[in-house]
Amino acid sequence: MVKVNNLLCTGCGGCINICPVCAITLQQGDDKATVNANCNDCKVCIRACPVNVFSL
Amino acid sequence: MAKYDVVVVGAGYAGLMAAKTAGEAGLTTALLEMKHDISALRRAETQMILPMGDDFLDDRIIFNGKTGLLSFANNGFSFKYDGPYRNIFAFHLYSVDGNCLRFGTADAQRKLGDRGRIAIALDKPKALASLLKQVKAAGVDVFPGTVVKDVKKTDGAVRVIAHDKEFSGTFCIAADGANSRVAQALGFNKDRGYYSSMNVVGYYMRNLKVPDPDTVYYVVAQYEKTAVITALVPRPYEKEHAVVFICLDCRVDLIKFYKYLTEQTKLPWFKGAEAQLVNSSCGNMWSTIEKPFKDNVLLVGDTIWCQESENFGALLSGAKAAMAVAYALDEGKPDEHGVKNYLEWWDKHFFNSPNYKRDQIMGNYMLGAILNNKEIDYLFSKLKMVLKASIHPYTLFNELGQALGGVVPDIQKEMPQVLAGLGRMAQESPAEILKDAASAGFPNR
Repeated sequence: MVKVNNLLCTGCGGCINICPVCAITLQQGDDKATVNANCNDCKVCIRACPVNVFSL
Repeated sequence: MAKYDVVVVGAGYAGLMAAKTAGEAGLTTALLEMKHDISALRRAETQMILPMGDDFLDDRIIFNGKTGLLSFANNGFSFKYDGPYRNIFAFHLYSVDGNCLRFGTADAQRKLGDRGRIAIALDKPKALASLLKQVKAAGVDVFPGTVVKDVKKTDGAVRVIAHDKEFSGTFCIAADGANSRVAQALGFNKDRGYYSSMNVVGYYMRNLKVPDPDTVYYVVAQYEKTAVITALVPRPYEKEHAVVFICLDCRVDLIKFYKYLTEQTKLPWFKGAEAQLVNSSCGNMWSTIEKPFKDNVLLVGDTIWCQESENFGALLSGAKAAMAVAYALDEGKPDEHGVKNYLEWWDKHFFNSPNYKRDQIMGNYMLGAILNNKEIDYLFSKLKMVLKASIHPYTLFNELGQALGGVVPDIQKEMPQVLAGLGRMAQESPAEILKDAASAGFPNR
């Protein structure tokens, strides 16, 4: 499952609809990206994120 | 599962305007948004402004600065904006070496007062908050923190499936942006033209030393062999700008570009300025959708074309789609025929309008992909005339061809590769020019 660096996330949500398995949502409170168990490590979010929030 | 007349997906300008219009027309309406805080501006964008004094999609915005009422003159609807604004009087494009192409000058336009403005800059979070207040007052059920995964047509309804809830609507309005999950689920992206995937980062900056406080500045640069556009948009507060870096090749690190622009170029604006990274976006650049309707879902805003509906187009298409739904339900025709007013408007005033070349907006990003910084600077140095004051995304460059005509012999003599580059821009499709960038992209087909 990809890791999320919340310090970098701006909460733009661009990754959410890019994710082919609907594994990303925005968490309550600060609207930062969070990844759920559907993640299959396809890495699309890693390429897409403009502020490098995601890593394996 | 609650059944609504219309379920609106996405609460940006397009979705909020659609929900407000539907609610005010008496329709039972649900508004779903992935963010928990709807009025926060998380997605970086260039046009945090509304173009004024010009037509777009057969309408024109009239703004009353005293009351904050924004009216669409031809379609007869409005919304009230509760926040500060700034008149924008000119639009200047700079090379990184400091020559510029000027669409109007603020000094001349300012003398004309409000009639001289080419746009107004709003505080967008305050605009979203104003719209949300009106949406709620219209009785719309609002569901923040709701991520839509799929839509399905059933007998006489559209099922909108979110992570932990499900909604049903006679109609659905998809306002979920450039990477629309709804458009993907309906199959629109399968055969759609794909240019590339765009990355953007946005900063708020204080104390920039730009020449004029009421001018929007773009810096057109070539960086790592591709185009990066920097937009410096004045905010409606003293000495504050929204500064946005945009690149159509997602491999480019825009935070590094920011360092390059501010530390290694001749532009003197950034010295001593305070900057804070506030938002970003990653979005697919798709070609325009011909018919924004399928299975009782109407598509609006950036969902239907190539990012650049502008805030103007988002508000207008959201309202138009909701009015068409209200008409269809009143007429007892909950189908494509019922909403034909929206589809005919789209076809006549954008998709097949002689005023706009479809996807022409892509051309605006091509200059830095083809010419290097020295060539861009040279080109701007030859275009010293002041062009018509405008920031209209589609008609802005109409005058430029004529101006260019006058300096072609000079360019031919002094830097012929610039003419060759401009020829390539005219002849090659943006998709061809962006082929390499597209190979690294992330299209959600």
